[in-house]
Amino acid sequence: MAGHKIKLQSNDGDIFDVEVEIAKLSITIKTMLEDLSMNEEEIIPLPNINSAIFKKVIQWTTHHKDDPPLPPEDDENREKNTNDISSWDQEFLKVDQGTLFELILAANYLDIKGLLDVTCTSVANMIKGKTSEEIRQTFNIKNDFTPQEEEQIKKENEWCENK
Amino acid sequence: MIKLNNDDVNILDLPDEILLMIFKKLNSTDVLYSLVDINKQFDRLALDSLYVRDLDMTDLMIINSLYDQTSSINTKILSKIYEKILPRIHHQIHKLTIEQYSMKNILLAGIYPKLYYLSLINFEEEILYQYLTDDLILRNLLMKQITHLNIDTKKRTEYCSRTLSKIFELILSLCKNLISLNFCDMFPIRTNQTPIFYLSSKSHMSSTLIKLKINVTSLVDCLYLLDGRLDSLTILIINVGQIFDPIIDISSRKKLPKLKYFSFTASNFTCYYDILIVPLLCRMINLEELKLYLSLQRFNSSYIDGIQLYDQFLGYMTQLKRFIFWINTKVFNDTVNVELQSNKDIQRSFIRRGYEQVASFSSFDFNQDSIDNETFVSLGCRAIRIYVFPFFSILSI
Repeated sequence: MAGHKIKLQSNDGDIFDVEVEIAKLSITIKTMLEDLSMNEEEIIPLPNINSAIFKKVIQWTTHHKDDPPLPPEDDENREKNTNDISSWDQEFLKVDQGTLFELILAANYLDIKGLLDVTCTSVANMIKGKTSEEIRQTFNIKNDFTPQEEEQIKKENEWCENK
Repeated sequence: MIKLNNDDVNILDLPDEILLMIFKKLNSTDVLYSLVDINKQFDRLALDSLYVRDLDMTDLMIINSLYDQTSSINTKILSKIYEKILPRIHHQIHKLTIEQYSMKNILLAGIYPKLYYLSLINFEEEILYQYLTDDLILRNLLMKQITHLNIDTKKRTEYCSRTLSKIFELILSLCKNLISLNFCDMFPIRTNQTPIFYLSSKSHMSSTLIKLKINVTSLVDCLYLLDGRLDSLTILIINVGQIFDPIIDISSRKKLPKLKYFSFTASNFTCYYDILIVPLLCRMINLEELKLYLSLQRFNSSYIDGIQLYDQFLGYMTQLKRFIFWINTKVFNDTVNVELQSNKDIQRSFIRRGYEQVASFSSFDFNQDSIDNETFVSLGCRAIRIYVFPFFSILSI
């Protein structure tokens, strides 16, 4: 029913009234409502999502509620061109890295394929063209190879240099 | 930039499953260049044997590259991959896709003991021919290991290329284990036609090739391919440019008992359906699947319908399980008064023969300047005995 709302609770206690049709873009929530016969009056807890992130998720799903479903991803139709984020999504994803990764985790938990796809694409665009050292700096990753392991890698490469 | 106090969440907090999802958004070259040697977790994921098993060293999935025919991969990226990555993973690679300008360095970077599937993309014909004749590493791989080969050449200006014929011939004589060959039919937006007619070899060419996908200049080339020179051929997917009556008699009458799958597309109109195409189809006595995409002209005759198709060749194909077709028939009746079938008549003619869901569309065009009354019927059709597939599956021939 259009306009009908359900209550969803973030892990920090905030309760959100969300239109059923929008909430059902999340396969996790859709399954709870349909398969588990949850009463629409009940408050549905979302233990893995805080209110700030959930607000962003609602903002995204509200904007994309009329999008056609994404085709199933397989080797044949895998889209490798990672520059195709819509201008609205680009603006939406102007967030700090921590928020971006929390959005990915939320999209994965809620099973919202479109949001997961665009957030992963955004991270892939941040990776493209960077050297490994630049990636470490961009994402604050520590090099955890031991000197022995680095030596082993060098030895493997010598095979090519000596060829 | 919006900040929601999530600075403590790092990319390493994402599970492997999501990191792999991100990796899949990138080309193989981007993954190998940017994500190897960062830390142990990224190394494990980026160099996972399942991931590197099928390595695409091109960027041609981006449509623009196919139009401008240039590669967009940075040489800095490729250098790191040649020098630091391929020596570590070459022994895990089963499938490899490479371009002309990077092929030599890639092949020098390893011995690829498990490689059996090779795609050579975006090559100039002359340069590819030179590699096939002179490059010992490539020749050795083709001769001893490659069972599946895809060839893609850049669009050329001339209509018929003898070089392409020579490449085709050389590949078949060189690849002793070749099972499947896609010859210049990898991307729908550019398909170079191969004139088989130019082949110097008039006899046996390969006894291992089972599947061939190719564009040829004319039906004559198709007949050459089916004259016994490819004696193990089971699957033939062929696009034919022109269909005309050859001056010399090259049409073998020998049956083709090994051929199980035949997909034949000819987009240009032909009036040689009855005398050239039907006899060819009648030779395919053990065919299990047939796809036809034809535009026909007939004079003083009727449209092609289910009864004619059955009487002409379907009746002889006792093993046929699936028949997908689109046949556009233009009929010119000037001297003889032929009673043309209605749409319903045509559809019924298929149902009577046990085929289902055939659609037909007819149109009449009375040309005042001509004595011919031209009519045509398009059979936008599928006729499937066992399986039921969506109508538009015929477009993916």
